[in-house]
Amino acid sequence: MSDNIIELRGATKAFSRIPAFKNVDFDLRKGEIHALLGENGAGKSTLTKVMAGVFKLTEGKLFFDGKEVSFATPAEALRAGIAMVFQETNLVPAMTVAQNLYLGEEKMFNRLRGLYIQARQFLAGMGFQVDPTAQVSTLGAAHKQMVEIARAVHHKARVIIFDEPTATLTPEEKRHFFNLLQRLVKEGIAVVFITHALEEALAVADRITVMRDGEIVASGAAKGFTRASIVQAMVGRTLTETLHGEVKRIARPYGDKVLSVENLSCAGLVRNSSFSVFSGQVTGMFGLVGAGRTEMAKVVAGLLKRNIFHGGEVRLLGKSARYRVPRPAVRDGIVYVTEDRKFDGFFETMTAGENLQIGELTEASNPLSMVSMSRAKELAKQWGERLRLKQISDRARMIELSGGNQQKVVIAKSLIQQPKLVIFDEPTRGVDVGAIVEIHQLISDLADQGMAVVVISSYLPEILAVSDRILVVKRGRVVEEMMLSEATEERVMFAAVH
Amino acid sequence: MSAVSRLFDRFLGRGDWAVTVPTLDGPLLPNQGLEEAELFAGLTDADNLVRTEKGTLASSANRLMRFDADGKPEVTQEFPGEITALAHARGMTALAIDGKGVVIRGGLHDGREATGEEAGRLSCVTALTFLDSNTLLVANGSASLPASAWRRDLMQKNASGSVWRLDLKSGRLELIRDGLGWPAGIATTGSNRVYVTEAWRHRVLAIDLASKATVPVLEHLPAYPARIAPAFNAGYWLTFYSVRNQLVEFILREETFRKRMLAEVPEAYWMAPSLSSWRDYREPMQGSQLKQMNVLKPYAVTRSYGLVVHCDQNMKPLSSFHSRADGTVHGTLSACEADDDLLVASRGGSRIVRLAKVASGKRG
Repeated sequence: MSDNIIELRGATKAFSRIPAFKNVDFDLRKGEIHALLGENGAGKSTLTKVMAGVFKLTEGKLFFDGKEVSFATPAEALRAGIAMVFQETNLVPAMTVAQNLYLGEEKMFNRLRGLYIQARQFLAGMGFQVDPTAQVSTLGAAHKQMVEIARAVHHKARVIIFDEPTATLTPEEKRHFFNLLQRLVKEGIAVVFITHALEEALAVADRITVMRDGEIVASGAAKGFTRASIVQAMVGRTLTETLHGEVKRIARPYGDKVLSVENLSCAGLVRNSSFSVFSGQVTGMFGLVGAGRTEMAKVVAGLLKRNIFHGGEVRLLGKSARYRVPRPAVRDGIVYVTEDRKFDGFFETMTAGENLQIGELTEASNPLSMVSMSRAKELAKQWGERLRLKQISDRARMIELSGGNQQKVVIAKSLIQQPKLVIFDEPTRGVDVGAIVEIHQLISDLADQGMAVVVISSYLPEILAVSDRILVVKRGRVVEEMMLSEATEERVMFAAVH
Repeated sequence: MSAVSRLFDRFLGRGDWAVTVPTLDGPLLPNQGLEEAELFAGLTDADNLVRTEKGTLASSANRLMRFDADGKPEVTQEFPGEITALAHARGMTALAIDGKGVVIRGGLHDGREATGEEAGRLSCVTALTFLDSNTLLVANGSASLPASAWRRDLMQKNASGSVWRLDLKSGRLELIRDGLGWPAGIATTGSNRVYVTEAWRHRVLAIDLASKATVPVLEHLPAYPARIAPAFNAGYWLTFYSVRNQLVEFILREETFRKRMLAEVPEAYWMAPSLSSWRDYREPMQGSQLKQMNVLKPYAVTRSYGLVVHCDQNMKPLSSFHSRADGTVHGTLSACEADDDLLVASRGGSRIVRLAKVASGKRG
């Protein structure tokens, strides 16, 4: 009897006759962690969605536990024992943890107290410190993921597929998550694990499969891979550009002071914080999740309001700036590239061109500026070429683009406004290595063109790779500034923690 | 509308009423440059460094000193009052004596003394520079207070400073600009423009001598600028009285408290910028982030500080040298280049320090 719990043979999935992946052979063994790697748009998510019953195969066969199957819906796959934990959690935010856990199993007369007791016991059994009575909308990313996993285990899943589970987790939460994976595997559950963090795949997975352009280009035991070999397989070329700041760079000199933030306070999140940003430089802003970096940036860009009384000053090119909404900030030349592109980065049912035109209309001073389809197409072509945007067709909706390409559209939408100051918040979160290099290069080019650039990131190698000067944020304040020449991972992390 | 807006700003503490201070970052990022600098000479009330053909001139209260390359001092002359400003060109030294105007020693106008209206108007000279052999540009800090009363002028929120052109031949005085908040430094640019520091408004102005048009070239400084010394590479060295802090900014807006402090507290113990600290237990504590009994003392702000900034020819800061709250090279009011080195006079620290190889871009 085969060890494989899932097998795909000659599998092809096409949308509008354009294949997302073609002629793929893939197998998942019982009780293994199988990492699925590849650039955005390589076809990983589609492949796993076929396994989870979201899509049906166009060609080829899917075997589950030795039997050929064709799941019509995700619910059918779940009943069979295949659960998928999506990048964006599928929980109902207005319901409690327990209600989400038992969603779909409600009885005529639900006794909530009993439900909470059951949920508490179940979660404790899995070692999750989550309050079953808490409303899901109040939970952090890590806890939401725990609930998703608990739901999968509750449905007695034999296969759990994780789509970028660690993208939003803190280092501590990641450690907890990996321990949990090991426990799931010990219980005989097979795990498919899509990630862009190659180190995580190398550390956790038993086997690794690399996809490129809808095909499997490498597959085998994790021990047989190195970081470099995975990257080469993923992008089909050797990346001469260094992702993680291994090449010594010379920091760019200070330009004019573009932004001066003085004693800024915003609720309890930003506390009397001061910093400056200079043109022609990339200012990296590092801090642990919750340190207040995003909030500082959002106050500057008019997305959040500072304290009414003595909330501090923001000066753009020496002039006091206070925005109630982002539009005047955009007109003054400040753009903020969101960390949560799916929620507030773009309109997912519109095309890339239409989204780009919205960026242009934001900046337009004429209130009678109209939407023009030809202009949208022109923008899509112009920025698509500049940022090497990959999309199935011009009419593809944003939701159909890969994470990296979505991020490029969000960036292009901001740059179209010809800003003086660009704030990138986690610019490469959920983006593949190939696109990371391109985005880093773009950030570097913007600084070379004389623009003031701020990069907020929780990923220290990224900060060291792109920044000319580094600001460390802790508990709502900029607590340390260092130049690239004096910054080391240890020093930056020490400042962020102590 | 603007009056209503100003009223709201005052009530909410924003706009002109924001009690905020720009941070020392970027090219002004604190370091230990001044603290680690080599001692050139010990000198009480060291100030007014000027490079001449025969060595370096400096003032120590009412004494004019000359230092050779090794820092060996020699008293050149003593004056009846404190020397508040010094300039040297073409073998001619111009000195300002507190309350007595400008005198010239050596060169074309040797022995010239200020008299009459000139002495009366130029009673608080803070900076001097030669425009040519017969013309001096004079910064007069205040119309009513002597140069030594700079703290009082700041805390009284005066703005009666002025810049004058003094014809040394005729003694004619021409007003270039008045209504300034303590002009403390002045430098020529090689064109019709001159740079003037306006200490209490934390900025450097460019004034056109022909049209008298004034443009700020460096604003929102985190410290009170003092003198401007030319740098070899066409830039400038900018010195500072002390750094600004939120507590002093707050007191400057709290009229009742400020007036009571001026009336009832001896000047040495005011919560105000200072050239030195830790000289008396009755002074306000200074520690920047002083912690006692495990409680951070927000009032223990930095009052005295040492700061010298290297700017380019357009007054854009390039780099800086600091003596922080716990240091001693404070009150660095003047600097001058000596070959590849930079000499900095610390009035608060009673010394002159030498920053080796920082001039002419030969650092390190």
